Amino acid sequence: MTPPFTSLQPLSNRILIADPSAERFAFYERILAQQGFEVQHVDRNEDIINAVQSMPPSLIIIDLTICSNNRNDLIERVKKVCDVHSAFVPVLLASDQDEQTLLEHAVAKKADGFLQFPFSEKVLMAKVQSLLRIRSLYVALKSTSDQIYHLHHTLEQEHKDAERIYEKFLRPSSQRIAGFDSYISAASIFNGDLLLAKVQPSGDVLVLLGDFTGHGLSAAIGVIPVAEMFNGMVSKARSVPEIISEINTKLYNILPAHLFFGCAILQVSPEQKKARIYNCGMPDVLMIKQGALTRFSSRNLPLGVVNSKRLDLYPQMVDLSGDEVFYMLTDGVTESRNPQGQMFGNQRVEQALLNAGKQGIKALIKGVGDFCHDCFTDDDASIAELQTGPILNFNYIDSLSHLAKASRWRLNFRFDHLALKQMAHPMEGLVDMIMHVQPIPSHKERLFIVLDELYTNSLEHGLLKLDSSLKQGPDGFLQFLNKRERAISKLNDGFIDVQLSHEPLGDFEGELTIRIEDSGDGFDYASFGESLNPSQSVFSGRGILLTRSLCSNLTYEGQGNIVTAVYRWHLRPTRDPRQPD
Amino acid sequence: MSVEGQLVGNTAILYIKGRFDIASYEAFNQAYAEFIGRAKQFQIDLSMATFMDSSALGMLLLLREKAGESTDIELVNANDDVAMILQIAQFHQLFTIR
Repeated sequence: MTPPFTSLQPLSNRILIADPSAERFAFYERILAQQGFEVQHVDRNEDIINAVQSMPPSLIIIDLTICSNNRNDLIERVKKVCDVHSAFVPVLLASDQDEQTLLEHAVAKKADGFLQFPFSEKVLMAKVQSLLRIRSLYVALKSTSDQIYHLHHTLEQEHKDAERIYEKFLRPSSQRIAGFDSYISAASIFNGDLLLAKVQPSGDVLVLLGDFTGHGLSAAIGVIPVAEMFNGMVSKARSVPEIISEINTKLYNILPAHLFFGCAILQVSPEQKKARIYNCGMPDVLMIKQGALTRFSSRNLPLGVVNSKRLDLYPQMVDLSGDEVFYMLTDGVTESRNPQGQMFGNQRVEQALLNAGKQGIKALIKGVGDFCHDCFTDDDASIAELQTGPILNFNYIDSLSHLAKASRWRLNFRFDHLALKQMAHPMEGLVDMIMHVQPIPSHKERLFIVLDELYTNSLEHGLLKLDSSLKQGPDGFLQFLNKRERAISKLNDGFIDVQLSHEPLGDFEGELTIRIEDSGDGFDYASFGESLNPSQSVFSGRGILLTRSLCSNLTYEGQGNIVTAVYRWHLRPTRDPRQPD
Repeated sequence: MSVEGQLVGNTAILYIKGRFDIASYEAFNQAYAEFIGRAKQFQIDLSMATFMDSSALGMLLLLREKAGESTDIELVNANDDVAMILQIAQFHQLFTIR
């Protein structure tokens, strides 16, 4: 146990003399008082402890005659009392015995020095001053060490609190996923390693392994916003590029220039039987398939370095057959060193994984441990393993259990001309809102396409009165774009109404009716589109075709300024792995 | 959103990044224009495209027209959402989709 922190009393200049002889005390007092010391006298053995206890002196001179002959522990007891109250109090043993005897007593009784009578004033002062110098050194040292201890103790406490917060952030996020295994060394927590694994509502499994540059708290602090964004956005079925660029934007804003976040995201899609690897400045992601190893090197900048607009995400794609095992590692694994200073290195990682068989990650951990004699736990090393087999047979029930059941609801919106001028993609926000009310993440993109195409039509043809046949001419697109821009800037009245009403058709099945009305003149819908062939090289009308193929019904009303589209959705609660998609 | 072009042998490769919609028109137009007449083949790399709407489909048709019938145009590495749009539009009848 380390003693509790106590603030030291300022050094006193009191010297305690324990001597039965009043004559000797007078001798001491004369010299010491002249030098500015306060001198206190006790003449009995029993009074020493009391005197020390009530007012600790800076130095004690004890005469040998006052010590019990058969006991050697007086000085030790005195020191113990001093320890509680103040710092090191030196004790001089004085006697007129011969030097040899005095020395033996001083050693046996653990005195810090001795005075042999007769001695001169100079000798007394030299000894007293030398011991007081040692004492003041000791006091300074003790106070520094107490402060360090105190700071360390506070820091330890803070670390413990931070660890608890970390746990709360990171634990629930790493949900149990069949085929997923991981290793995180204890030391890595505060070094900014981050490992997250989560299933998207669509059934895609996402594993993120990241590593902040630098060490310690500054590196670790970024982990929390990253984990929060990742978990939130995965639940909302945001795409991986969206997630990465959100995280990048946040880190770009908060991290100092020299800090960045290397991260790799592995996305395994059971529906598409595809894996995508987004490696942004991490060591190679490894894939083992039929005894062969493939490397997926970093193709992207680490996060937090450039503005998201300049971040080009380049995924690497693999078709899956279910016999692949992916490994993601932080550099702590390959950089583990043995006592001879050799690094574990890529070659050994590769060998360990190729020979691992069913042992997988455990074989690698053992390999590193054997190599560097259990240095592993001291390093910040994290490893993730993902087998594709169990994921391709993943059961959707788990990921659906937290989805809301289909319900009856309505949303009405009116965008006036000011809103229309200012919003580049108003339907994006609307789709996000729908996803909050009725989470059907796997239908999000389709819904957005439907809403956006219908909205664009209402805006461009209804309110702005643009003619799509413009696009057919030479440089038609450019002309169309210019006209569109001019028309938008001139817009000073009009509106677009969007009415959404949803009816449940089952627990995870529903019908969304989208009615969009604009204040424009409409168009001759009777003569439009029926003969249009999808593969024809016509530059207009494609939006309506696209929408029609996504909806179960699409009708125009009024003068053509009202369109009603019916979008049906259902989520399959279970998925039969034997059934091909 | 941005488009970057690169000529590799006879093939002009265009990398589409971000949202591929009406706002990309100028960037897309500029990127392919310099390769017209120089490239025997176009490859549109969609791996970095996050979204595509009907205007983007129109722009691909425009490229097809400008490049001429004899020029092969490949659309590669589309993500699921973009691939769905291409599928619905039946673009495999007009382009090579990989």
